[in-house]
Amino acid sequence: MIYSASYYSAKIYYNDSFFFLKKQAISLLSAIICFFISKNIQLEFWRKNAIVLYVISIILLVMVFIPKIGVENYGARRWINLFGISFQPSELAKYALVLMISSLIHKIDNPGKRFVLIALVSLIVVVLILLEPNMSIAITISFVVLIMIIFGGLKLKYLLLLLIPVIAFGVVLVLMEPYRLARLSAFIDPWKSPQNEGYQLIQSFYALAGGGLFGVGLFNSRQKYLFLPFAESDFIFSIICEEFGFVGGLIIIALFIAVFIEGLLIAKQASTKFEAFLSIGIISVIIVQALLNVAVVTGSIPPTGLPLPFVSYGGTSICVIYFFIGMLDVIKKNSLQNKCLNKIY
Amino acid sequence: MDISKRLIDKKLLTIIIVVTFLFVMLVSRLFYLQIINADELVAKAYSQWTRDLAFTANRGEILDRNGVTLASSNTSFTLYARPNELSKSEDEINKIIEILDIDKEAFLTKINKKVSEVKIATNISKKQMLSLVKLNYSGYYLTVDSNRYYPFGNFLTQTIGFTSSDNVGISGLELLYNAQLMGIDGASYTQSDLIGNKISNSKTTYLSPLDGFSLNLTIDSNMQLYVEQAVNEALIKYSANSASCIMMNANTGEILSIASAPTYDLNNIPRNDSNTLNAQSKQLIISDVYEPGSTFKIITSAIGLEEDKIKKGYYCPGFHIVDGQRIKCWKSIGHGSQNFAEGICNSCNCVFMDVALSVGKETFYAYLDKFGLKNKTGLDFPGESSSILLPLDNVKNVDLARIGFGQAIAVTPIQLICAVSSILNGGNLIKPYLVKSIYDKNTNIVVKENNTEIVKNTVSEETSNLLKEYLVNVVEKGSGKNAKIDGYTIGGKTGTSQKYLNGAIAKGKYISSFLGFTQIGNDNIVCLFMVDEPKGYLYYGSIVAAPYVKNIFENTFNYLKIERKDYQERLVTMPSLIGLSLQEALSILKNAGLSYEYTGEQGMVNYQMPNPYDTIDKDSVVFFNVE
Repeated sequence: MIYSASYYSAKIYYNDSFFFLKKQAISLLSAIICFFISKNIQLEFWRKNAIVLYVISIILLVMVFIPKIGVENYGARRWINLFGISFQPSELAKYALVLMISSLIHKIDNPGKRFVLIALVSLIVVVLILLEPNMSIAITISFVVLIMIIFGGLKLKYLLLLLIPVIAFGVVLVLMEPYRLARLSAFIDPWKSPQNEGYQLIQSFYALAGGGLFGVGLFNSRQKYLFLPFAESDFIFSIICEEFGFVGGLIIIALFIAVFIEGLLIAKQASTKFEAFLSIGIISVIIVQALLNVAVVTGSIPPTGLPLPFVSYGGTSICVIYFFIGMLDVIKKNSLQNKCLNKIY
Repeated sequence: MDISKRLIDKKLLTIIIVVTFLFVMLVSRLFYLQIINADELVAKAYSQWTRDLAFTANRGEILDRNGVTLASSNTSFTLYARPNELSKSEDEINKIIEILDIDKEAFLTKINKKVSEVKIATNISKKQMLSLVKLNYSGYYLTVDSNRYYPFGNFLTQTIGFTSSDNVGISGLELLYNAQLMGIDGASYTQSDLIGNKISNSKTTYLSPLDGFSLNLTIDSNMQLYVEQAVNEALIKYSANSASCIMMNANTGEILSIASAPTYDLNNIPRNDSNTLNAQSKQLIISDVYEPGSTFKIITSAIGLEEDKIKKGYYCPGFHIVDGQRIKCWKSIGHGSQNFAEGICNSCNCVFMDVALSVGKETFYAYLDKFGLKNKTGLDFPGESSSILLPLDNVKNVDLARIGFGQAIAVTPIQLICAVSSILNGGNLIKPYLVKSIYDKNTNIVVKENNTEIVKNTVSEETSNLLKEYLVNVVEKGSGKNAKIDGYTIGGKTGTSQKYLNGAIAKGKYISSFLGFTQIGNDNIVCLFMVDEPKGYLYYGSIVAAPYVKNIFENTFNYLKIERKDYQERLVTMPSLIGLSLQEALSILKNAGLSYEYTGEQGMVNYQMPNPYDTIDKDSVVFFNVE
């Protein structure tokens, strides 16, 4: 799919139609390796070392701002380049935070103290990511934290305590960066500025409309002919819907819902509190991101750059996802073992 | 543990419902964009998915009533190249510059430009186009263009009007019927990427252009030619500001010819001189008002006859006193005693002052309305003006008296000719028209047809006949005798109007006019000829304008092969002269009233031309030989 969406622009820009495909194949290979590594790591290890991982990801997030290591791209510093490998620390930080929160919930029973700590660790990550700036991942993380807190059992006053400053902060952010306001207005009426802010959204609409019910067929997208920027990453869903139609889009969405339910079932059957929250966190990251991505592509919310999990082009994203899917696998195995043990006893 | 577990179960269910609900909302949004609103979006997207080249539709032709082409569209081709699709081989380049006869350097510069598309050459002939197509090189594209061409050049210029360089009508019929003439452009659509590169394996779709409709005018190009010649001659002869003429079928409203000089060649429009262009594009007959002068007396006469206000006799002392004001007749010593017919013949102002005053202003104004002199005629031509009349309440007797002989009133020539036509045709005010039909040249399907349209009735048949008789008299014996043609019935009325400058009479500035008519078949043909500011002392319409109307009618009779009305009476039988002596032959020919020529003196007539007993015109010259 990435190949189909990207071969034309890759040919034009890199003179190699397989450019994105090759890179993604390497990423996928590394992702599978990540999956098998994490499969063989006991969760006890993660629980004990959550704090370490958290601290590492914080350090990496800070490194983004160090010149020479941090790479600036499209006006934001989201990438770091270490020993020849470039990746997005925020992708890692998402899951590190999930681990951290899960272990906090596991360890601390006092609800007040627990809440304060969760809020604190989350806030550090969110603020750092916002500084990059990467609004979309910050929003994703906020939603995930919210879901985890709700599952953790929370009194309303705490929730409000958390939400009010977040909303206020969001408004300030939008007002601070003029491009966000422009995007916001473009979302309301993209045809007002078809050449500028509204361009991407209009192009996405064209792709969707061109697809119709059954799509134009694999490789036949017209919008990928440089019309739709980021056709291989953030807007891959548009191209899927163009080539496979409404039906194709529906299938992708159905798959996400299936993954989500599976994740929640794993959480339900998890043997420890830590494992339960970890799986809720991981699956929330995936589903929140998928929801936001589809919402952006269909012009249902203001545009924000966010890859579609599993599908979009992007090495870091896919490696990290598979790594944590590996953890889910371990959790599932543990719960099955537990059941067996329960039966034996 | 159980309680918290159940709590989690409940929460799990809630979150699954919430997430599924959100997805369902997104799916419905997707459904809206992909299925419901898709057509509209795809239509918008289509313009960016394809690159198009226009094929200009041929603008419809304009033809006269007999099918003579007055304006046509020439087809030419334009060659475009898409530099990144060209092979640019030496052979290819040489062949193309040879066919197009273009500069090699310039061509190379063009095809090496870093653009998606470049125009190589315009005005390519069909032959060149065919050679190019044969070569079948990739990356070259031809489009069809259409240029306006006028076979007669400076002919019917103001009526046809001109188009912009983009073939959009700017004036005249080209403007009024622009939508019908224009047609719909075709195009070629090629699928391309954002920058305009052709997508490989994609097809190019051609949409052929739809030619515009053609116009069939009421104009007869032969009569138009006579009129054009006449106005141009008058313009030069009298160093006039302008000379205009219109000829109309008074029974049907068809305009047979209409012209104003000076004007320009439609194939060489003075686009850079907007003052000249504007002035010479004006159809003066339709767009300008003037004080009609004596030609208006036809209207006054008709009103007088209809209202039965004609006196048995009139006396003209050279002036008429109205409300203590002395208004002069054009002949200062006066016309003396005269009846109404003589008054028309003499064009005596006093007679018409009297007629107008006896009718009264209310009735008179009601008639002006009846004759269509208060409204535009509704001719299918842009920029028609309407008359300027004094408001009825302000009309004093002095004004009414002046209106009676055509002053203190301004009308357009087309209004006047329509009003007079209604008098000639027996009382029907008709709507004049220039376009007979609009039709599709390719299928010959008539889209719209204009027919005679009677607006209202003006005068009775009686008035019509009587007045026609009087007006024929004017040409036979009166001021219009310069328009007289032996053997034909011509009627008419002269006019010499004063011109006004800033509201005051401009001394020495006149519009000389003559309004003449004749009958061809059952139809009355009316012709108004006007010369604006003839220079010199000869400014009377009878002298300046009447001869041109005569000339135009003469040409028209010849062209339509209209025989003299006394054709039969003039026929005589050629006597036989063979075997007679010179003396005998001469006495026979003298008795027969024939002119002759002969050769020889002695002997007898052995040859004669025409042959004995042939039917000949009594004015013809016969020849014989004596030996």
